[in-house]
Amino acid sequence: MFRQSKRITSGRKNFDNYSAKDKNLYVQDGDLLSSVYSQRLNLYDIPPLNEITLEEFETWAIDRLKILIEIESCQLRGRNFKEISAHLKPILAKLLPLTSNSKDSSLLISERKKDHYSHFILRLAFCRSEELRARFVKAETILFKIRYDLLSIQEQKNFVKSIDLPWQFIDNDEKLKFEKQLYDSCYNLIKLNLGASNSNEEIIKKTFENEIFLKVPFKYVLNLVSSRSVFINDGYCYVPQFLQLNLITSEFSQKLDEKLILTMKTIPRLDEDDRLLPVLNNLSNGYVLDEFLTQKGSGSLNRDSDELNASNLNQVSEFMPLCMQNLMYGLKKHNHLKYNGRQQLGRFIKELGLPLNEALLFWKNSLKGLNFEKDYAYNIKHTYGAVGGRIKYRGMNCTNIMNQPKPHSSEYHGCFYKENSIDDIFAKLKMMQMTDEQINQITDSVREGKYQIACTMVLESKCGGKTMPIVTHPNFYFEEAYKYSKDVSANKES
Amino acid sequence: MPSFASESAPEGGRSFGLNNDSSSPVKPQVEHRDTSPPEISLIPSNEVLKNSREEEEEEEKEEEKKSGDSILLQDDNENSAATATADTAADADAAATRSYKPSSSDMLYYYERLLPFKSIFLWLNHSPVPNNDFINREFAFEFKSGAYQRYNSFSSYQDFKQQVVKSNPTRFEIGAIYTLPPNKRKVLSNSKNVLKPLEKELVFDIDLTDYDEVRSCCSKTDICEKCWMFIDIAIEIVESGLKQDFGFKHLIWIFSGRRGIHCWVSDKNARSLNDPQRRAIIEYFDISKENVLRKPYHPLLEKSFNIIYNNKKNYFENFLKNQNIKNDFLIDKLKSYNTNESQLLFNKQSILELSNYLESNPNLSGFEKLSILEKFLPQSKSNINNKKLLQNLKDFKKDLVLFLLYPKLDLEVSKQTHHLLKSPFAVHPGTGNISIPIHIGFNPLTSALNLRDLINANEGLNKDNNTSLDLFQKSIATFDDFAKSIIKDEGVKKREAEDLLDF
Ligand code: SF4
Ligand SMILES: [Zn+2]
Repeated sequence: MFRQSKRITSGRKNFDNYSAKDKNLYVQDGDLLSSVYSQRLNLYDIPPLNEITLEEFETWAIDRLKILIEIESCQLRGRNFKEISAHLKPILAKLLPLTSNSKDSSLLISERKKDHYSHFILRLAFCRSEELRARFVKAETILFKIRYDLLSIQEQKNFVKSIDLPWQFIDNDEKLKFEKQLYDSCYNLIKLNLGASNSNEEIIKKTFENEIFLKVPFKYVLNLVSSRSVFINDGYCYVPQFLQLNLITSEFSQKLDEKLILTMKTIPRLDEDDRLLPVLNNLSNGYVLDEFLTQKGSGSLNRDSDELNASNLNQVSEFMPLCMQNLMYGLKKHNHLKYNGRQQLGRFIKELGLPLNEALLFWKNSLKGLNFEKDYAYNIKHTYGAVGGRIKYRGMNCTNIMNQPKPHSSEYHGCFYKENSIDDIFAKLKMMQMTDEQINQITDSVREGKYQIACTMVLESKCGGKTMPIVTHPNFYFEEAYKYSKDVSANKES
Repeated sequence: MPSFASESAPEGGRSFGLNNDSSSPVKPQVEHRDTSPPEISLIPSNEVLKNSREEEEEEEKEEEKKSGDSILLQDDNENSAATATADTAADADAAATRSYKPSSSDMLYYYERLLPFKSIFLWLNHSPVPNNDFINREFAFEFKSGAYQRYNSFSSYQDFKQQVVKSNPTRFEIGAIYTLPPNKRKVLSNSKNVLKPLEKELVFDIDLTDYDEVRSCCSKTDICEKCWMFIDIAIEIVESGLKQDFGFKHLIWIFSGRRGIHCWVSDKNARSLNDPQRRAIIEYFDISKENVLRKPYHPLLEKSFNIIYNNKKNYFENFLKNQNIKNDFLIDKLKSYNTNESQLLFNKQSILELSNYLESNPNLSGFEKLSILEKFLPQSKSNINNKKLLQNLKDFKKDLVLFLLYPKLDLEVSKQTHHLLKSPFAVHPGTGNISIPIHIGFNPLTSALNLRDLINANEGLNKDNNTSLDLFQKSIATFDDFAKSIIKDEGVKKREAEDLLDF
């Protein structure tokens, strides 16, 4: 097995296309405060190059992940920036504190290091699809803003000075030259900034007279261009200083997005059993607000802990949705499943409530003729949060399942209805003793690409024709089908 | 605009004076109406727009299909076209308005003897010696069958000419500069080197079909001098915005051959814009998604309003004379103007009354429509409210001027680097008109350059003087000057540039 102290060396080349030699960035811990970590706030221009342990790698990333999830869920609930900020402050203090410059230096370094590394680790995990990138950028940008807000005025000033943006303050002559244009274009911004209640023409005019303007190449503030919010002349936007934070954050998110795409392109193909891959996959997959929980309280909670175990899993497979039945079938046939299949089935089984030792037993019995301990145990334990990070990964939902790479001929993962031909689906449903009429309806849905509807119809027929909400999670399917059969047999007995 | 403003409105209504008091110089101290909506979105709207360009293409294909027979009878057509030229030589205007579908032999003649391949090459290559800017440039061919062949590319202007002559397309379009020569993409691309668009001119496409809701002289594919005024306004506004606001220098307007124009911005920093930057620029210009224009006007809109309303060309006055304000358009704008609470103007009741009135008086002119609006304002007991309503109406009318006459851009064409656009000097397959550089004052009915006339002139068949040949040569000279100014700006070595000047 794997040694906790083993250092990640491959991580270094992954972070970015920087080379340590070029920029001489490999810095002794002691010098960090005067260089990379001179500011509390980090724009993450420079990737980290010093080595860390895998343990740190994972726990740091997870702490940051928790914060991003929290930000995202605040947003989903429609909270505004002030509310999000207030909600996040205590969480940040606990998980990812950044103390101000006055404290002792080793604490400062370790805090800033954790912030720095965790950001770059999550870049690796979230660079891999457009959707993940967009969510990451959004959450990170809000985090950045929250933290900027927490800085003292002096720190804000220092920070602004320290960043290298091609902006330049205009002098009074230029302001006078464009007075009318500047006034007209920022009239509404000033008004908005003052708040509707205390803004009359007088105050707006005064504010304008005192306002300083920055000149920025239009490429840096595209949102101000497209919304026609500032005066543009000769390729420059004239931005009132009170929008400076906007400038910084829009630069922040734009750069981050570009860097993520770069990371995606330069990230080497990680080996299937590279220790980093499960960590990264689980990080990004765990970052899905679970529909299963919202669709229905966790059914597995109502079950005795030993009701399902390694030996009876095969018997209850008839209650599983066809994607999982297919994986069970493939596993039996080959005594093996490829990586994506193991992930999909493994997390489903975990969500069923199978304890770790039972899950290990199940997999050990199923994956024959292989060095189980060496090749697979770590991944399974990792899914359970028993090694490495302590985050509890949830079962994949239908969207996650469908978004996996297309299965090759010897692979069984993915959504059954999406990945199989109509003929195969027909044959399978026939085997399940469904009527031709039912089968026709189901295959019609498949043809229209409505896989989850097809799946729901199968579930409904398993549950005696009772109407069901649309299946969005395989564990929901299982819980419903399983419960129905239990109720039926209980009724018979009584 | 004194003459217009003083024109007395019917029934003693107010004059339609929307100007700020022009006697006092405009300063920020000018009173600002407190009517602007408080929210300002800093986030660009991502709304997906219909691809009107595709629609146009389809429409054109349809037209071609409809007249498919005439393609079979090509020779007859040619003859009749030729006689038409002779017959109407005295009436040059009528001759020029005639449009025809060029035969393949006409196209071949044009490609072999007339089309200035070298000029196009110099423009795209930004230097006299072929480099990646030209070699990696995509060209697409469109054929009579409707087939569309992408990813052509050429190693020199000789190669360019040779292949166009060989393929004899009905027209060709220009795409982006790619990472590789697009025609070698299959051989050269590998995991490290994939075909990706790198650069392209920033382009704008303005087409009169997008003006159908505001022009009453023509519709669909028809155009006349009256509606070409919309294009003049668009040229003036977009060009001023691109030059003053964005600082671009090298732009040229090209007649699309039927009812629109294309603008090519060739500055180095325009060519290298990425897609989000292109989108931001086009959205900066586009007002089609706004119901109420923020007051005070952004300088771009203030400038545009002045061009349309105050400029000596009297665009707005001419508009009111030559066109009407369509009732549907007016009611529609009033309704959407009203959706915003702080813009209190007409209420449901008053809109209904107005639209009934308009319906029962079908002969009202645009001018009359504007002046009766006031009478339909809902009456309020409070004087302050009444005053505010009047002010809002004035604002509405100002917006209306822009909604009617401000450029209507085809957004999709401009947003993406890899989008293709018909090349300058290509021939419009439906009209035979050549895509020549034009500017304000162009008349598509009398000053278009038609391939038929050009060929006749070149063959000495024209009884009239050689206007077509002259126009063609002038067009090439204009275009060459444009190309040279770019090359000069890109800092090509002096000697090379001198060689270039005497080609
Ligand atoms: S719809 Fe969901 S549960 Fe059903 S087969 Fe597809 S992935 Fe599995
Ligand atoms: Zn017309």
